[in-house]
Amino acid sequence: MRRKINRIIKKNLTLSEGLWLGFCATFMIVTKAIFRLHLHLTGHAMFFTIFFFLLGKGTVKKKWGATFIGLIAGILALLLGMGKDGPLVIVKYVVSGLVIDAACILYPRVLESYVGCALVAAVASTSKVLTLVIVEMLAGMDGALIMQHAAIASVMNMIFGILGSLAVPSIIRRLKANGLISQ
Amino acid sequence: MGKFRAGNSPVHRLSAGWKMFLTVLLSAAAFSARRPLLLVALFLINGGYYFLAKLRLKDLWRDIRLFLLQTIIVVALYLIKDGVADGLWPGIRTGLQVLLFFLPGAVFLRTTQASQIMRSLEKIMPRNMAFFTFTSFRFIPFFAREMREIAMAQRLRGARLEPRNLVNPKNWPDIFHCLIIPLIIRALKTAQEAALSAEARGFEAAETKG
Repeated sequence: MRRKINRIIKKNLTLSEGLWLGFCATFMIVTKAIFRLHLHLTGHAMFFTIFFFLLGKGTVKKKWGATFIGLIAGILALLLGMGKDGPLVIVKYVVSGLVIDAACILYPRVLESYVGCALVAAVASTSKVLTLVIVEMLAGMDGALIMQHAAIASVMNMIFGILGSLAVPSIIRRLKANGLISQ
Repeated sequence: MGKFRAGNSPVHRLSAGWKMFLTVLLSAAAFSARRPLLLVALFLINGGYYFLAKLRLKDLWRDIRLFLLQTIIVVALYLIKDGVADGLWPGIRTGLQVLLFFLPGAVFLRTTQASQIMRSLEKIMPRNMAFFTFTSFRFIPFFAREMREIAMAQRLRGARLEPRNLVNPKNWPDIFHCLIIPLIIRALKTAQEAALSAEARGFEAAETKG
């Protein structure tokens, strides 16, 4: 199994691409740590989380790129003791990555437009409450109440996620124009 | 950054693998405890586990405050839907179950050092994945320092990057133009250099042999 995953990673990513995606995950964690000291707004961390998710996926257009970022970001968050979910923090980041990858499979040019980025960001930032939804479902909570609670818990995440995503297309264009990433 | 609290409690001395097992066990138990008696018993077990780790009440407050807020929201939603008589207990029960689901994870993070978690992860992670993850981990202090240095240089040039400026959305473009883009360019270069360095040390070659 480990060898199989190794082969998949090697087949899909070069070392520099893998490291760059890893650095995107690092930036998510670093910005979250730095900015949460100064801003006391609920959900604002999603601004940079979604920004770096989409930036990584937009610059390295490989299968499972966003999931890869999510997995590394989740492990880094676990190692640094960030978040309130314990080991489940990995699931939160991976699910957001999966949502972004799924959107890019359905429409590969989604990250080149502002509307596409905003839509992906809205769904990906909402998916972070998925663990809470699953926990509440397993606890036997009423379905309608779970949805209401998820909506309350994710509205600020969604707003900041969309704002962060809107910066992505122009930055990708600038990086391409300056030859820093391949066309 | 980091929730770990140094100590020499029995929980601190447990291996990361055992703690992970206990976390899964206690979290799973939170779902099956629906009757008041079972919930109280599980609450006491979790409390015992927390204080066996010699963690302080201040830590407990930091770990559970978000879930207490969630519990208040859940109870309020139940009260609106079913009224006080029918909605109070299911609301409290669900909130408590969610809290008990997440609490063992908090103990895990409070009592397990990053190096311990890394050792455990190394055993189960594929080699390439471990390389990318731990290289990223080692670059955290580097990029945090880079970020501070770029921010300081840009502030001296007049960029609005003071913490008090960040609250105003009008100043957010400065974050991107003066801080994030230079950082991205630095990271792209660093990724290429680190990849070359790893290849020169035979990382790829070793992989193809396996």
